[in-house]
Amino acid sequence: MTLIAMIAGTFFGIGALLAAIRLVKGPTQIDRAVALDVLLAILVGVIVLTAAVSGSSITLVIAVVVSLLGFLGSASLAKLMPRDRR
Amino acid sequence: MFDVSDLTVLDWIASVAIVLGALMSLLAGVAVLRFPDTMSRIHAATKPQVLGIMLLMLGVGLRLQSPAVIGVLVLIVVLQFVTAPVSAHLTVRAAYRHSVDDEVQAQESAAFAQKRRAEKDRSPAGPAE
Repeated sequence: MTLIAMIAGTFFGIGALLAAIRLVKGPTQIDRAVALDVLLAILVGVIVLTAAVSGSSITLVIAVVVSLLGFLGSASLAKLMPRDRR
Repeated sequence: MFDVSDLTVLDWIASVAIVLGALMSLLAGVAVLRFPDTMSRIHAATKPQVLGIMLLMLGVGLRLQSPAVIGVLVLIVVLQFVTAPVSAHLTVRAAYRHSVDDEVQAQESAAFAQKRRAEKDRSPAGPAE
């Protein structure tokens, strides 16, 4: 399981790094919202991977909360998107 | 410490599912960085939210086999299935409206410039009084 955790953690890390680059670069606010969505999905994945490695289920509750927060964040960002485009 | 022959079939399935779910996150990161416009980025960004989370939950559920854990995992998967399409739809709608606003503004400014040019052509001696 340690090897699996290392491989999956590397994938998560590279994906989060690339999404963070898009979060910084993103030409519009919508691109930044999308990159934040990807980052939160990766965060849920990391939390679940932690539960799988340690064998305890106590962090899974945090994953529920984070997935709901991701929905709230992207929905409110899409709703309250400022009218100026940059 | 780590011996491959110790793994059972369920462990193999769980490992493959976890690695595939992590691979979805990597693909989403690459796609969000590399794709050319907002719509295709949103399209790629919804992959880890549904398929990646589902594969990860499958792997973790096969590893920690207890009913309470599987209940929480199913709860997370159902919440993602309900909320991910809705949030993606809201984001795409905002992006589409912004792009439509851009097009309308470009057309209006082009029409305005054409009108100015036509007025200038009609009175070459100078500005109209």
